[in-house]
Amino acid sequence: MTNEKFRKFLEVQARRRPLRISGDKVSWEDKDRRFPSQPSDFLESVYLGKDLQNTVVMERSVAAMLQHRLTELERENEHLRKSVKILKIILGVVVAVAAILILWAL
Amino acid sequence: MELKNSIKDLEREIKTRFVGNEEAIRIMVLNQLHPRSTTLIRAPRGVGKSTLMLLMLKGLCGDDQVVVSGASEVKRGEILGRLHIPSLEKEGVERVLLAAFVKARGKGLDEVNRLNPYTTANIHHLMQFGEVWAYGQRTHVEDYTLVANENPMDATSFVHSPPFYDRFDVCLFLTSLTLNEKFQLQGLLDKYGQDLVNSMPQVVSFEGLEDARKEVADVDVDPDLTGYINLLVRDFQACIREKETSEVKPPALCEGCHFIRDVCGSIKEPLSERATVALMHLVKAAVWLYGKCDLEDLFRMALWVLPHRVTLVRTRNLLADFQQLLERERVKMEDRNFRREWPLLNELVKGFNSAAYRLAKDAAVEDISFAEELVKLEDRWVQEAILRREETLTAQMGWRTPIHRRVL
Repeated sequence: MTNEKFRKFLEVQARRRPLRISGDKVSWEDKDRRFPSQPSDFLESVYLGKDLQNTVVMERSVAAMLQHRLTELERENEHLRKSVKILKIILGVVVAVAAILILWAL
Repeated sequence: MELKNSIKDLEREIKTRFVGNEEAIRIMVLNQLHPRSTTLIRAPRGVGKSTLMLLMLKGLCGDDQVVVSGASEVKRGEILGRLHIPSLEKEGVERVLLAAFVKARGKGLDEVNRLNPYTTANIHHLMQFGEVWAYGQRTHVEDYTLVANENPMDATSFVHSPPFYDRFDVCLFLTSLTLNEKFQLQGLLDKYGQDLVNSMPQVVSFEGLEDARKEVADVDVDPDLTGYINLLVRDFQACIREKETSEVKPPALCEGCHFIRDVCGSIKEPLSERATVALMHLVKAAVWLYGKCDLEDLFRMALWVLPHRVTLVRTRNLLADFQQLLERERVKMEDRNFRREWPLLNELVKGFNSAAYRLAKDAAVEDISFAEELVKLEDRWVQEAILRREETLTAQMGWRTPIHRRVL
């Protein structure tokens, strides 16, 4: 099922960053560790609805993703604000026209 | 060694006549080192697109080159061939006289955006199959080098199809000259008597280039780098909602998607596999010419291989947008290493291991390309009754595996 070159890629990666497997435990040594070995529970709380612990350790990628999301939301916010402004103007015009028509009818 | 030196000389000769854009020239030279090489140069008017194209064609093919200009009225006969009238009249035989463009080793297309759709279709066929059809006669075209240029801002353009642009291995974006560089250009024009192109010698014979191409084809690329090439391209293709086959495209398709803010969420039309081929050619060429190519080089190459092949959901500045996407990719690849995704997958490919599987599942929640591989293994384990369907990542995340992707 697995292509020979793909298997080779996996083997090279495994040799470079070896895992220690003993029974039901997998661990590894981190010489250049910047992140905790546990996956960020912050994302799990967002996606899987799990409770947050007191301290949330966030990886760079998660922080970058959140930063990206905030930027996108800000942009969307700006876009919606513009739409609301336009709708307000349209509504104002409609109300004014309606008022004129009612006054004219009276 | 002599071949490598002559290729390096080619780069040097071009750089002594073309100011700035050094990275673009380096990539352009590397891109010549595989058969039927195609290069597209994109820039605003007056930045040096045609000059760079001519310098490369002269350096490789000398006078054995034909440049067709999209700005002139190009007819089919000038691109493919025309009927030999005397043969038809006297013998009743349809003999085709092939156009110089077909026969020349160096093929140039100036202002390709102005080529009419019929001419473009013929060139598309040539790039796709390495042959031309004229008057019912099919002719195989020998190895060549094709360099094209275009100004996408040109108002008098035809809009060519994405598959046509996909046939170009690389697309080089040239930038205008800085103040200092303008002085350099004036110096060069004085030095070469205002004629940069005619001063360019043929540095490599085409036979020499063909030998170099053969040597490059035999280069073995490190499995690590091959993996990163495939991974990079896959990240620009992957979509848990199958955007390739979906009628609804991003951003509408991405609404409520778990991976919405991943790189995949920024891409409307994904990459074709030609991107993998083009990157592999460049990597092989770099290994052959410079003796090395690392992940850093790969990411720099990607900037010239990906942008003309992809449609982004929102484009402000194509190159800046791509640089940002590639930077996110770098972070993602680092994360994969820190999470030991590939060593974990290596274990799981050998056989099911619950501890490795748990960690792999956690990683897969944040990585679609990794998730795809894990989901395939899960399918196998379900079939082998090692795992129940409801325990799988697919079931827990509510993903659906399309029938055509299921493991049989």
